[in-house]
Amino acid sequence: MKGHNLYNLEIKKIFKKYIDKMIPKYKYMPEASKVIKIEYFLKKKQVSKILKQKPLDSERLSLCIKNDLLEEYFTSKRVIEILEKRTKNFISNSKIISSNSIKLTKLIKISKKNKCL
Amino acid sequence: MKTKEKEVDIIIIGAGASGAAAAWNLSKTNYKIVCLEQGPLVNKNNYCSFQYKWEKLKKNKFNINPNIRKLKQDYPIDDKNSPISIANFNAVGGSTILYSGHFPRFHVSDFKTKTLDDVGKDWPITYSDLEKYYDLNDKMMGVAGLTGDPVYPKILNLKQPVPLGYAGEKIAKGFNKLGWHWWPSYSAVTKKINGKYQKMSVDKNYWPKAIKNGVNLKTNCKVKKIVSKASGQVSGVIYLDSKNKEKFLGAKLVILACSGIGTPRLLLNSANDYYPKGLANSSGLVGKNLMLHPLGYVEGIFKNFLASNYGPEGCCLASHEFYETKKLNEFKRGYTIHVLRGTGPLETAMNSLKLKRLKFGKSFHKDFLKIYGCTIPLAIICEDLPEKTNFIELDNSKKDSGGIPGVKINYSLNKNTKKMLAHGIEKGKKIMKTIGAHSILSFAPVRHTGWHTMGTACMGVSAKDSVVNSFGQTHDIKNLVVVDSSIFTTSGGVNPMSTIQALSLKITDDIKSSPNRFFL
Repeated sequence: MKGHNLYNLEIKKIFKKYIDKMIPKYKYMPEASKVIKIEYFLKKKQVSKILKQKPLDSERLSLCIKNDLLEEYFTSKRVIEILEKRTKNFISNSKIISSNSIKLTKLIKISKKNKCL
Repeated sequence: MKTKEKEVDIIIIGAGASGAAAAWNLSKTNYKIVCLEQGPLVNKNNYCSFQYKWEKLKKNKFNINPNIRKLKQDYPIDDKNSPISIANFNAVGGSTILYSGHFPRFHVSDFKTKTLDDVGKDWPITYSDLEKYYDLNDKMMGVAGLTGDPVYPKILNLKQPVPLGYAGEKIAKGFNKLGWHWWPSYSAVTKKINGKYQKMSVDKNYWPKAIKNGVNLKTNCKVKKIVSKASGQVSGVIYLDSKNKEKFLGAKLVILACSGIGTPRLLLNSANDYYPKGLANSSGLVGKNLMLHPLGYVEGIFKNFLASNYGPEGCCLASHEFYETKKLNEFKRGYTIHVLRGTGPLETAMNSLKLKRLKFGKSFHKDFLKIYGCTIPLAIICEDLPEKTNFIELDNSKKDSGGIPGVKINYSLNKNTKKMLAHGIEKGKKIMKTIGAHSILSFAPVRHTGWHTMGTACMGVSAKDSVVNSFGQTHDIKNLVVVDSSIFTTSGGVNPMSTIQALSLKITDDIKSSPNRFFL
């Protein structure tokens, strides 16, 4: 049993290292293993089958997990919040005039040819 | 064995945009009304727009494609013979649960394309006939926008427009530079007190009011057939309840509100000895003249972050510069240039990976952040002309969970549309270049965009070349009425929701004011 657990830990370690190589940390963006549940992937038969093979077929593993990895990563609460914060910071530091109807009207330049009625 | 239920005055089939408007408008009378909806009432808290996993939900149970979603209430749609696949949602609220809430009206010219441009057909009604219903519907749906748009008669009482955002202002200045028309989007998007925007769907406004007024909304009930026991009249419907038990519900009047696909499907599936080609099909036009608004896509990528992903999805601004027929063009009628918001992070990453703009490894985030929020996408929404060669038919080889046949789509783009799409793509690229995009992507037609299903039970004056008259009443059957987008004579070049609901309100007002015209 102990040996089995150690084996699982080893597999987990290999997988964690692999996905962090695919999506590494960069500035405020976390590495993959910080936001996704590794167990979710290890439960998938095909993934565990590839991980058990030696040497590791990294091309096959990448192909097998890439869509799910992106999906889990970019729908994780932490990543969404980080990206939202970036957007909100930008918005609050930008000059946006169109939130005001009067200023918005001034932005529109209508020429006579646009009269389609 | 069928259970026979107590007869009602009116049955409405479908609780989407048109069914909801019809139910509410008729609920202010003494009629006993039942609405049968094949889908459930979705808990508002489960809407994908309220959750940070919204992009994941959009790929699964809130997928726009019923063939991927495959929920109990969905019916199979074979779209192999079409470059555009059908998008819909079956539930109380229908497609308004998933739509972007874009709410432009048809132009005055859209109702008379034959007279003006010698293409399509003239509607038997005009913009003026619908105007007060457009206004009423805008009020009910909480439509935001800006008064003064030169392409429309004056539209009043709009709510505060949804801000363009930084990216919207950038492209608006580009339109100004080119001297092209643009206007802030008309959107059923309302600002909430906490500052967040909420998209309006009919389960939140029309339905609670209709139910309060006494309309009996039955969910998870699939209508199998409309029953006609004598020529010129229908007597009710056979439906499967939530436990798949077959029932007969009698009614004095049956109103179809099942979309441009669901309505012809039901009419064709209701064929009987009196109507062997399907109900209301003496013209042979039920299911024909399918129009889908073929869509072109242009995306510009910019060096700096524009926060283009910020704001309600799908609603920024629109240009009608190329909407009307122009002498120099090689095509008739025209299109809307619809400026969208940037895609969400998951869609951005998935598409970028596919296009090899992004790869896993060291530079993953650096490359991702150069794209996410740095793109401005726009859609070219083309007017589709009615053609008998574009049609839907029953597909007996694929049935839904109740054993009712699915639908097969037969659709191709005509020469006019192809030229229009090419023109739109060229103009889309021009605007992107004008505002400094360093990279531009474009393609057409976009496959997964068949939201706007129109024309398959078209409105007209004569029983020979149309299915319903100007009252939405079928030419063949007095007490059978259609209020959804299948009755569109032509498609216009804008999102049809506003016109669908205005038509439904007008037709139900006609029923209220002249009941003898409709009831036996």
